[in-house]
Amino acid sequence: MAIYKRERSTRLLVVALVVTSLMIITLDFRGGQRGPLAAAGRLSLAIISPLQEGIAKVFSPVGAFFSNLAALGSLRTENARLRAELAELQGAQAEILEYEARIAELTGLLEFKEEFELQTIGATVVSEVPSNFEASVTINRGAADGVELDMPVVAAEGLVGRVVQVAEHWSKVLLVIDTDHAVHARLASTRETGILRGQRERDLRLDLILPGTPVQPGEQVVTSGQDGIYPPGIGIGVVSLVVPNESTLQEEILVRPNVDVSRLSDVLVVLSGGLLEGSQR
Amino acid sequence: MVTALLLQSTVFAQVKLAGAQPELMYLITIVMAMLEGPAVGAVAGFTAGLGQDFLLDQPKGINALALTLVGYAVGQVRQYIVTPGPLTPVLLVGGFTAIGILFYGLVAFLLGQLGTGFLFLLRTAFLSAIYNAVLTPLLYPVLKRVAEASRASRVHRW
Repeated sequence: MAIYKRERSTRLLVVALVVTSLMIITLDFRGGQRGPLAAAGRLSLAIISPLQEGIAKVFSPVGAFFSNLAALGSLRTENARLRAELAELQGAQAEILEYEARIAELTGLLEFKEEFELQTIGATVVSEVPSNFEASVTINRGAADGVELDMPVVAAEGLVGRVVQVAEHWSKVLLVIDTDHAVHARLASTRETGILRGQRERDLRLDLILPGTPVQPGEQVVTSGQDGIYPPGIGIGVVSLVVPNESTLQEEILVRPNVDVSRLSDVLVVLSGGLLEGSQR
Repeated sequence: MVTALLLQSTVFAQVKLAGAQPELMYLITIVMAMLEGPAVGAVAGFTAGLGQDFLLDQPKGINALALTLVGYAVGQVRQYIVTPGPLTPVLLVGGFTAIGILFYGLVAFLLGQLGTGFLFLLRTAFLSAIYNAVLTPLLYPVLKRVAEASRASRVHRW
């Protein structure tokens, strides 16, 4: 009997709770946002929110720890993916820097060509001739492209050398720093001329300048055009040192070349026709 | 109950299982119903559901209805379990959590208050049930102690 009474009272309790729930659902549904239950909800939210904020602040490291633990597997995968992507991007960046440098070089060549109004053909240095006794490079232009012996070769910064050997599609260029190379040069300020010779690792040497000619370090040295090979006005280098020689009364003048021959990449070969049309400087 | 609600909305909001949160109110209701019977289960469910509806600003009454029925049902079911095993609480919590969430979804759908699709509801019910089942071994001893402490001295039912 007691058990039956308890069962009955439990059922009555559950029914009462279910009916109450249904009444609350109906009141909320009919009242909407303006109903009394919505107002009670907003009040509860106003009370509970500060508590939520406080607990969140205290437990956020705990939550973050478990959250990171759960995400560990995917984090490792993403880490590996990001590292691979980073390596790829770094490679691309290096490539971009190289392209930028090349663009700058080619732009310089274009400006050089426009300034001197020369008939030229572009070429790329493909190799350096491996010899202790010769400073020269090989370019990818030859007879098939109109290249001939003794044609000047220039870069954006200035004189590179001249063609000394021609094949069908390749040519050898003797650099200004070679001991066998000589060019008739002019001091930009006084317009005095002399012969500029290569000395390999040392700076170029300017000979046969008139004794007593005032020469200062930093002075520009350009081609004179009087040797019949190089167009006039092409920059060769800058006076780096002036050493008086008391025995010969002739100063030793050293000229640092403008072009860094160890970093040659793109050059211009001056075709013979352009030499005659080159502007006087 | 309030503590559980606060934890659910803060700590457990960050620790999700494939996007699903645990339903601590279901866990508490089911465990209380297992320990104390259908009457206490129904009252605990009603209180927990109503608390969740108001404190978390959800559609009022639906959680109260669902949890009342879950609490009563679990209380009735456990009377028929003669020799409960160690996995009994885990299975009851997991199973009735899923049923309760689906019932909630059905009522919300009938009232036009369900903002998700049926498949999402199924997925949420399944994942929340698993999450609750995983938490049961941790929380069951705690809730059991609370229930025993609040109980007057009488014959143990199990």
